[in-house]
Amino acid sequence: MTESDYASQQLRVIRSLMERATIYRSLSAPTALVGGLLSFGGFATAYYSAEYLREPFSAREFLVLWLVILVLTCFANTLFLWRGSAQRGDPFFSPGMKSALLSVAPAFVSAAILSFMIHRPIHLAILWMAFYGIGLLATQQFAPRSLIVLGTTFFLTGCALLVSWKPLFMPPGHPEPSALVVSGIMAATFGGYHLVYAVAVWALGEERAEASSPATGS
Amino acid sequence: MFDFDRLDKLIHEKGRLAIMTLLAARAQWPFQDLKAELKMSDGNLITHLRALHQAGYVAYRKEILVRPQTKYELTAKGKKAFENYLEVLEEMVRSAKQ
Repeated sequence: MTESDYASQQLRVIRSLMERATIYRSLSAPTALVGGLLSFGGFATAYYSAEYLREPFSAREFLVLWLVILVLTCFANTLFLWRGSAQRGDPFFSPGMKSALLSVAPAFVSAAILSFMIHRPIHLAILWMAFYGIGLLATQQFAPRSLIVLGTTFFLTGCALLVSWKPLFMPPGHPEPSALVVSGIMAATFGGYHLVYAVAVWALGEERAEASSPATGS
Repeated sequence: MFDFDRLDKLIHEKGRLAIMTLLAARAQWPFQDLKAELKMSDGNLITHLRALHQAGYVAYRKEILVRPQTKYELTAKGKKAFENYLEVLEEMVRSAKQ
């Protein structure tokens, strides 16, 4: 083996180890806080419309409401990630971000397509929970532990609701859950879980630890 | 002919190079995580970490969160030494291409 081969091999080993060890947090704690609060705001909107205006949301309005919340949360996430990368002096489209986008894309694109083929709010909620969980779990090779726990929780909640929503929310003789009830489920999960995640990340100081690392990307 | 003496002998050892690489990739590593990632025995890992600590490349601190744990991180001197080591390797590759 020549000197150059030897050096190249060493560099490959180092790169591979560093890639394995690098953490990328695709969902920052501030984003989770914003998303969580927006989810509760979404439920409040649905509640106000149903209880005070006497105009309960239709399935389409339910879809539009939660898509707006998704867009606002994604916008906030982009801002927070951009701010974080600027503070560290890293490029916004870091290798970590590219890996995260490629990992979540299959689950998120599938969910997006299916969202326009499904018309029942309860089915949409289950779909979003399960696929969001799958998307987050797809980043587990480089995601921090808290994000893996969040993904697992969403995935298991989606699966649990899939098998239990009928006996739980639609006992014999009752109509299927309204957009308001499903909005409540969305607030409890997308709102509640994200708030718990944000508090846990701050309490454990995870983001501070990652920010002081030269190779992280949250 | 490349001068191999320019490579930091302390870092150049396989186990210590792996430790330095992981510490360069993430700010802090609990001992148990390092051990799991590198698949080293406690004794082996402690020996390498002690050598790096004595050279001033690695610092550690003990914490008690849920249970006591020791976290390791690179010092400024350690970061510099690791960067120098990478530069020497890159130089080896470049000089061979010329």
